[in-house]
Amino acid sequence: MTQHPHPEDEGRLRRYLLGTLPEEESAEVERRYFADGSFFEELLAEENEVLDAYASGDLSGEERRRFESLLQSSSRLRKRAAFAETLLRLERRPGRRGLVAALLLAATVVLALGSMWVVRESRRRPVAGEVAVNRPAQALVAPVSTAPPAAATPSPAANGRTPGAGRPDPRIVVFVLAAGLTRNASDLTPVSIPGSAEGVELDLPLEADEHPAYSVSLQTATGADVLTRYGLRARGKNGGRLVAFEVPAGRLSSGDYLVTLSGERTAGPSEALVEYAFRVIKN
Amino acid sequence: MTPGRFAFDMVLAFLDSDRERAGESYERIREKLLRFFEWRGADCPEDLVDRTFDRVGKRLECGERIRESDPAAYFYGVARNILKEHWGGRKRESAALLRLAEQAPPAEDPEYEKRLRCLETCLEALPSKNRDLLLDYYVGRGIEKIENRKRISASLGAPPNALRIRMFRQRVRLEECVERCMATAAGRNGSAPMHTIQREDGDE
Repeated sequence: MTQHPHPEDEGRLRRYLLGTLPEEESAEVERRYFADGSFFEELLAEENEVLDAYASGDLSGEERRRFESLLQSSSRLRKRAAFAETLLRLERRPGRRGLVAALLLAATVVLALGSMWVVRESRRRPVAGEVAVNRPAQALVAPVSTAPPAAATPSPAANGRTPGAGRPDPRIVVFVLAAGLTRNASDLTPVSIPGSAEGVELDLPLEADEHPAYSVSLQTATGADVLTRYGLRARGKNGGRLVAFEVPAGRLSSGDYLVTLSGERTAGPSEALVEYAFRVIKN
Repeated sequence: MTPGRFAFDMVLAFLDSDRERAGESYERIREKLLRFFEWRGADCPEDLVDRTFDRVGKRLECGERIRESDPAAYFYGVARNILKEHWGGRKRESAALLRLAEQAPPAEDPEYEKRLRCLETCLEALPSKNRDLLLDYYVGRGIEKIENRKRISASLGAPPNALRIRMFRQRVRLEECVERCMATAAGRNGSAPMHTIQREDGDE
């Protein structure tokens, strides 16, 4: 039967792996793992923790220096470190994070300008696979684009420049989200979507616009993917920069959601930037 | 350096009278020796492992009687001596290596993209429940990570360390899959299954 180490043991194993345990204690650890397969497995599991800490930059300067000297002499450890780095980057990519856990540290959604929703003038933008249906103005629904170029070319209304022609269209509601950290899911700001709305535009303000394009991933609190958009471009609004994307209202039901915004690069993997959590309440 | 055939047979006979069990025991000890030399920061740990087996084999060949009841403990004793000898000759180089490590951060992984694709492929090959669990397990840093793991542990009704070992085993298999995938992609081992993961009891 496996004997699980006491938390003190874990610190000891870590110090052994990093070569900071006194010689006598190191020898004791070695005698034990040569005699006990379960203990050896504990040590291997701790090696994973050290590799992950190294990959995520969580080792102290001295620990890092020691670990890098081990890496230099072991091709196996170098491979494992490369794997840990890849796993870490994958975990940070949108659509891969465990959403329930992420919600524990979720970004609080703050509706811009006092939690109000605004009605946006929207033009019909049918796309392949979706059917555009003409309805009376109050109930008309503009099919929400799934194509990145549509989001990359925001409508005038979304830019805050409602054209003189045409009436406000209540089919798309716009929410501006802002990131903030909270550990309490009950702090999530409710996002009320009226029954008449068939599309929701989520605006994500940027602290800095440093990427040629962005991607977003929307997931439910249980981790189910709702949608992902790639190739979104930032645009100006109210003197700042933001990334906007649209979600068909039918894809949102009452509950908690998480948006992960990532910056795309011309080469290499995208970089997860910020998360926004919110609670949908459908009226 | 590898032990001669006769010496190797002597080692196996020393480990167990049943050749199959002896082979398993050999592999277990070999893995521990490899880690021992690695964690001690020895250069060329594989060579030192071979040297350890070679030395034990030669002693057995010469008729030495080993009184140690646990063969693994005996190998450990021999390995410590070999490490001391190794350090005797390499102490100066080791110090130079430490300085080098201080000055030169490791280069970027040149195979990152390939590794990432293989990782994604291998993850897809996992049963969805295991995949989700594995990805969830690695969410967060610091306190967030600890809290996350506590939550997973509680939701599974498994003690934290049992979960840790379970995740460790999953990760080993995932890493093996990625290595096979990369070898296949590089054309070094065309016959290797590219993205299969050996399942274990409890997999869904």
